[in-house]
Amino acid sequence: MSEGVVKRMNRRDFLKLAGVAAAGGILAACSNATPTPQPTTAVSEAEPATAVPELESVDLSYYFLAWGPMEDADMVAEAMSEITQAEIKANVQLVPMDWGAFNEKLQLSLGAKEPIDLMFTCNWANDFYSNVKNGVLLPLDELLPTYAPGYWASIKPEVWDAARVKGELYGAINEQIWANIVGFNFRKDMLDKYNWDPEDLGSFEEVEEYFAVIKENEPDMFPTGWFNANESPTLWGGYWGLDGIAPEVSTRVQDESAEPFLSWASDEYRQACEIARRWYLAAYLPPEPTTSEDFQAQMKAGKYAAVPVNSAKPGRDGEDKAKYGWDFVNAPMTPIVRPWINTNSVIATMNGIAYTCKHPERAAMLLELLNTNVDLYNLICKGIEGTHWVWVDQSKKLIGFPEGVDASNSRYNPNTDWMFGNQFNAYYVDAAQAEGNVWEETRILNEGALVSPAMGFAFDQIPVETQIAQVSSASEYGQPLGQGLVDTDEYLDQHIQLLRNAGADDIVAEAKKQLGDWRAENA
Amino acid sequence: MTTRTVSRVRSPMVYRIQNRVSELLVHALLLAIALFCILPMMLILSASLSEEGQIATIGYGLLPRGFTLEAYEYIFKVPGQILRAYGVTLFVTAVGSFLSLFVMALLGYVLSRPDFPYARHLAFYVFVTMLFSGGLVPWYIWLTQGLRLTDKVWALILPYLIVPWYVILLRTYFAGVAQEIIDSATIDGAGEWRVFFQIVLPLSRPGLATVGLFLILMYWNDWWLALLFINDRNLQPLQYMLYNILNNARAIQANVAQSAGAVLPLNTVRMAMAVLATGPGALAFLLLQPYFIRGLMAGAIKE
Repeated sequence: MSEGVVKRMNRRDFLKLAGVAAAGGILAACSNATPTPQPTTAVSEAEPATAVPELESVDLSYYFLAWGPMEDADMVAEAMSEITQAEIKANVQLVPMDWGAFNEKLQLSLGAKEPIDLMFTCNWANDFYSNVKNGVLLPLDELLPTYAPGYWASIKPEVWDAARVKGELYGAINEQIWANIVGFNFRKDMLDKYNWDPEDLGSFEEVEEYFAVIKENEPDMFPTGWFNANESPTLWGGYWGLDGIAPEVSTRVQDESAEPFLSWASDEYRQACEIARRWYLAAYLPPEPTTSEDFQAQMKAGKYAAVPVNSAKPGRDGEDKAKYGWDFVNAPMTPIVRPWINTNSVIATMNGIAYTCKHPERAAMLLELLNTNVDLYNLICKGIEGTHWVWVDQSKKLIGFPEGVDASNSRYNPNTDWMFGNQFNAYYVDAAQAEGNVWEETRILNEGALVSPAMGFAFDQIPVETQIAQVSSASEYGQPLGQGLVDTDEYLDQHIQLLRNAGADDIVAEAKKQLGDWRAENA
Repeated sequence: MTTRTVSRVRSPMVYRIQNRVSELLVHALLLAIALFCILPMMLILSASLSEEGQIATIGYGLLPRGFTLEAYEYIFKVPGQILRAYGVTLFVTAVGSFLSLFVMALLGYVLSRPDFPYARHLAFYVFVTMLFSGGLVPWYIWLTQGLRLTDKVWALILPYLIVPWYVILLRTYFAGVAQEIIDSATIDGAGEWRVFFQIVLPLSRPGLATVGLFLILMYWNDWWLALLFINDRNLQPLQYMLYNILNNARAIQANVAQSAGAVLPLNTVRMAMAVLATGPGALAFLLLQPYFIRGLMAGAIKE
């Protein structure tokens, strides 16, 4: 019948169609990915003093976080390429990525072997240790000393240790404030009003005197507050000299043997909780922890007399003035140990060379330039002179926005000098910082800081994964104790017991073991 | 047969009052439920028109605290950007949901026909993807290097073209169309395409409308694909752009050395973003509601 014939034809047609579709799919999959740019052979003009014969021009891509407006990133990259072409025969491509894209998409791109050369990595974004474990970072032990000698020499070997995993260096550290130093920013007008000088501020107890005065005389104000709903300012390790090497485990910075112990069981933590509780009961703190947005709005409106700062570095008062609008006096407190450096503070901002990089030596040379060439560094940090910034006072290295441009309409204002290289090479944008020569002071602070004996030790969580998970949900008293919301005597021992029951001692033992092995290897 | 008599007979007026009372109770309950739904939207709208500082000190309220358009100004600072984002999202939603519905209807119809010998095999091929997948990285490699969809608007449409769950839904609907109708149409000389477009589809309007609505919501709200595949700022859809504005505002707020004390309207910006993101959808639904209901009921009554 004609109908049957038609039906059979349809089946055959269907099969043909399916076959063509499948073949098309397979062909598409077999085609090569976008070909990498062909290096152009060019006669080398100036032979730089490195061991690489400069014959080819190379394109380097740099993936980092877009923190501010970056519309003109391509323009800036072109300007940078002029310098890099002259120095190392390389073109630079800037790829600023938004937050979500940076953490998620970059991992996928690395897995898909896309051509990525340099990328920003640290312990709070694009996690450094995961990257090392996944093998996406190239070791830098040979690349940096050979191709980035100036940069290599500018950082002490003990500090380079912080970016080592199992003895191999993977992160290119950016120099910035490393020293852990805790303190308060006091509102200047209140200080003047009550005639209180925070010079040489000793300890939390000394601050209490001032808080008492504020509490008595200013009924609408709180002496201080929580700048973030999860923060416990009295617990900051920077004050007590406690280096948190593993979850719930710390070592004392002054302890040469770096003996790990359970943080919550230490005297320091007990004292910190007691101080916080005292302050809370005396109403030096508001009754409820505030979110960071609420705190900022309230601080601007004048509800607090002091802001706790977890990094009381030189220049912090200027930063907080820009954020909150009041004049501040920065008062660091170091009663127990002088400012100190540990792994976490150093690896807070680093760059790395990805394993898909085709010219790692050239990437290392770019790192050298970013960290030593002041013009190039300020190009990427601030933009193009004249378009994005102008000199305000060249002798003091102070810059400002050009006519008609400000923070709200600038087309290139990353505001993340610390991400790109040595922050101390950046031009100042704040007059007070320029006056106070903040970079020099910070450098001196870093130089004089105590290096934690556990510097460079990276705790491997896998052997005690379950205990860590159990401990993190074992007790609900941690935050309230630290913030002073509940009574220390009543709950601290309970909290410690709950942690111990959940396996915290295993974590301490594991930390002890790993630390011992690490010290033996690197003795 | 005994007749049951009502024990108490009330006067007509009592019945009227009883009716009225129960009516009022039901209305009050429905009104309460409606208010529960509307009040949050009104709060969001009012917060988006309020001043940031006042929200911090006083709190939220039904009326805007210090009426101001600063949150919208902040978002619309570069109006071209957000209008382009709207354009991209509208295009992606319209084209995407239409194309997706069309392709899935074709697939569902084929799978629903009992006289199609390969229905089982094809169904297995489609539904196994609900349980197993090649993984995130291979999928990413396929789309970026295999199909080369980076920075193309089709990257926002193609990955969601076939959703196995909706294919099942459509297959069920199409299976509900009596085989007799199809047979009688075929006897009258209709080819396969005619049967599909002129017989089966009109009879399945409720199913198509349901799936269509889900697809519209899916395409309108999506930002994951943009995060992975779109680098070009001109091609960002609305949700992804709003997500970025929020993150950037938060980052600027945390690190303001160069913002010179400018008050960044963070909470109000969030509310304004919510209004912009859901407003058009809500409005469209309100306006299209009559057509929707008419379309849904069209196939229900035999003419």
